[in-house]
Amino acid sequence: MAEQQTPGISAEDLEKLVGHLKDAEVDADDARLNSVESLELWVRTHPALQQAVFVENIAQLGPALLQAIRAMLGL
Amino acid sequence: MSGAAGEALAPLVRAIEEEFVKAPPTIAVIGLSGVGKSSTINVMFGTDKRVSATTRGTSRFNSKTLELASNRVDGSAIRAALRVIDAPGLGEDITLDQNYLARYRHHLPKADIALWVVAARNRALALDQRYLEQLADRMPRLVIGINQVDLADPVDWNEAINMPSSTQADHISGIVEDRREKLARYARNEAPAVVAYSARRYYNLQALFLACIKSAPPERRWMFELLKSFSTFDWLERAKGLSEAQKRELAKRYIASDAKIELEKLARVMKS
Repeated sequence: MAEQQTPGISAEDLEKLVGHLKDAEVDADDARLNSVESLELWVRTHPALQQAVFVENIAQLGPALLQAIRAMLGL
Repeated sequence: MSGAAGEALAPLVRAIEEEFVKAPPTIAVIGLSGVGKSSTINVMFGTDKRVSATTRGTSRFNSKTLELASNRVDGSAIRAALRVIDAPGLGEDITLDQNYLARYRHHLPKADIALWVVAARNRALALDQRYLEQLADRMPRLVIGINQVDLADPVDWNEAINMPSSTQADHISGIVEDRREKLARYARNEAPAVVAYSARRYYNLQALFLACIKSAPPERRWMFELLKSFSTFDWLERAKGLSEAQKRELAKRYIASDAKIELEKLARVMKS
């Protein structure tokens, strides 16, 4: 890790921080995957979308698809 | 977005915009005055920063649809909306409470998510229990959030890593079990999630958000993910013991990248 230029943290604290960081990202990933499944469910039951080209690719595209949609919506 | 990927996704994006208008994602946030209900919604969905001016401001019971500002490349805006059901003053005046509770009973069945917020330091839960008893049948999927854990005794939050001290962490575990025992029993859903967090410090927000997402109807969860406005880095950057370089390095190593999506790769997958 880069040279510490601030008061710094102990090795024990760093371990706790990294542990929580990993846990948080596992939760974030879980939420994204839940949302991809949710989007697929919604699309498959939507009268105007269920025949669309990308329906079969939603699971494969995964969270990247949500990112793309967010970018297109300007959110 | 331009090119093949944008064209292929255009019908989906149009349908999503229509859905936001027709049936906006709805979250009910319930709890006594001062527990941080607004702070919680603000950090999860950016509603203090990106709500259009005409829809800001809550002072009484609200079932309000907040239009969230969007900044599309072509300059057009979409009507991305979040509906928040909130009674800011619950518990302040007993003469108003029955009115608020009646309104909650009316609006709660429309909510995708029902988040009950309590403050970590508050051990007096009789009012929460009483209100929960009156509202539980309207909330099939309850999530209980314990906010302000940074103020849990012995109030020695580890600012260097933006986490509870070891003693505080032990105490917080006890608080979670106590609130689970005292509040979760009123919920209709079996074993509702109970999550300890601090909205002010962005601590454990991912766990809270995940619990909320999982409680929403399966076909509606994606709407909340699109409106999510925080990342793990918001928590990490508040760790005062780390230099900026260290934070960036940790983020690079452990936090999912928001780097530019490979649009052409997306387009290829969609065509195959």
